[in-house]
Amino acid sequence: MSDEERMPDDLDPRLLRAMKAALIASAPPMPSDLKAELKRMARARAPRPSWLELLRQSLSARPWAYGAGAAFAAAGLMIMLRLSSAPSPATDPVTGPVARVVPVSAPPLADLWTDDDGGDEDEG
Amino acid sequence: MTVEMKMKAELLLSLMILAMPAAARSRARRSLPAPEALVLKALAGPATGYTGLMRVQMFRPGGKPKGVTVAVAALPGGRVRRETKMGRRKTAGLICVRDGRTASLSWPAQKRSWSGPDRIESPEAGLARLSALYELAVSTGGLVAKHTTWRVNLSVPGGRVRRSLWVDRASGLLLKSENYRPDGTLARRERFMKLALPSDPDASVFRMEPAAGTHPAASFVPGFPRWAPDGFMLVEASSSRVRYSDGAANVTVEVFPAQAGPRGTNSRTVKFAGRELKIAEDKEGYAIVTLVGSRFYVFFGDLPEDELVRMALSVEDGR
Repeated sequence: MSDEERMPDDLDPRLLRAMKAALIASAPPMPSDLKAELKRMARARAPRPSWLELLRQSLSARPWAYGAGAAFAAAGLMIMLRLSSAPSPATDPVTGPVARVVPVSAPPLADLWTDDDGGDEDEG
Repeated sequence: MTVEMKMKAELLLSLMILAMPAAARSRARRSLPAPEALVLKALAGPATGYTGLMRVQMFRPGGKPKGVTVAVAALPGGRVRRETKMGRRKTAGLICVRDGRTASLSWPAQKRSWSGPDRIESPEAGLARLSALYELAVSTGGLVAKHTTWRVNLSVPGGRVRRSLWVDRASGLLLKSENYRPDGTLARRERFMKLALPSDPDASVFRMEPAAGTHPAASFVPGFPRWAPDGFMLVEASSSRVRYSDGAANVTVEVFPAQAGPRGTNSRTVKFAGRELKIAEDKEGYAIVTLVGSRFYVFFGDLPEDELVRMALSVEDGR
């Protein structure tokens, strides 16, 4: 930018604002389809919370839900403690083959699986 | 023959050649069976017994595929035995037996066993469940374990294929299945490598006699699902969360009080037997949300939504 083109330092701020407003007013408006496309792209790029996050947000959004959740968890815990301390039948006619509810000691199921070449020998 | 006649004959011949592929396609479409009939046949199972060896493969994004070999024996009437083979010596791992009334699991090496009433679903109910969730389409399926098949594609309403089933043209046996993630990548494949059909396996293989010293363990928790796919067992339980696994795939069930139900999730709704289920989807997979009694159940994990729905429908409001 040459010295002739440079803006004088002592310009009135009100004049500067007026010039800026005039420039904005004279600019052609953004085409509506371009604006819509930019908005769509911005929405697509925005991080989308997972359904579980949304669910947890909706659950924690209500203050009273803490009380209800705590009461529910406490009731569940009581039931579990009672079940675990009670003599457990071989098969419960109502709830199915429950011998013991807690604790669950998971067997090493991952040991059943081995590395695979991922191939499929069939034509299907 | 005049030049004009020659030209007419050539034109006629050209038109016939052009029309032939269209006619062939039309004939092929006409000869395809209805997908609903094929699925019903596959769910009912063949009219004879069979034995075979299956390979189950799991495909993780960015990970090595994992596989397991399963020996299968079945008789008409719902009796099925699936025995996981371990290591080079093919020793018995997890054994699952369903006899039409009872489901039993046994792991001899771990001295563990589970047993209880099975949650039976009729073929018609199974077809209704699949038809409500997917659009069904059939095509020719090629050879699987030396058997000619029909391929049935199960697509979500948006059009993406979620599952593919290869059904034996002669017997109706499901010979191969593939599950796909929402992005279309392969998640799981199950296929017969060897098959003897018809076959008459001994009835004794469908009786589960726990070995001496075997102790029973938890398989189902009150208020949680009473059905899980073959090979899945309970590996984690708390008052509001249970998890099932077959060692490679996981399914988690979380419970919330009904007053604090979910909202704002992007989902579609389906109804079965008077119960409403919401199916939510994101890049990780699918989730099923349903209200049973005074509790909201959320099912999510490495299963297609039709199996998550079957698990959800097995929850009973008995509390």
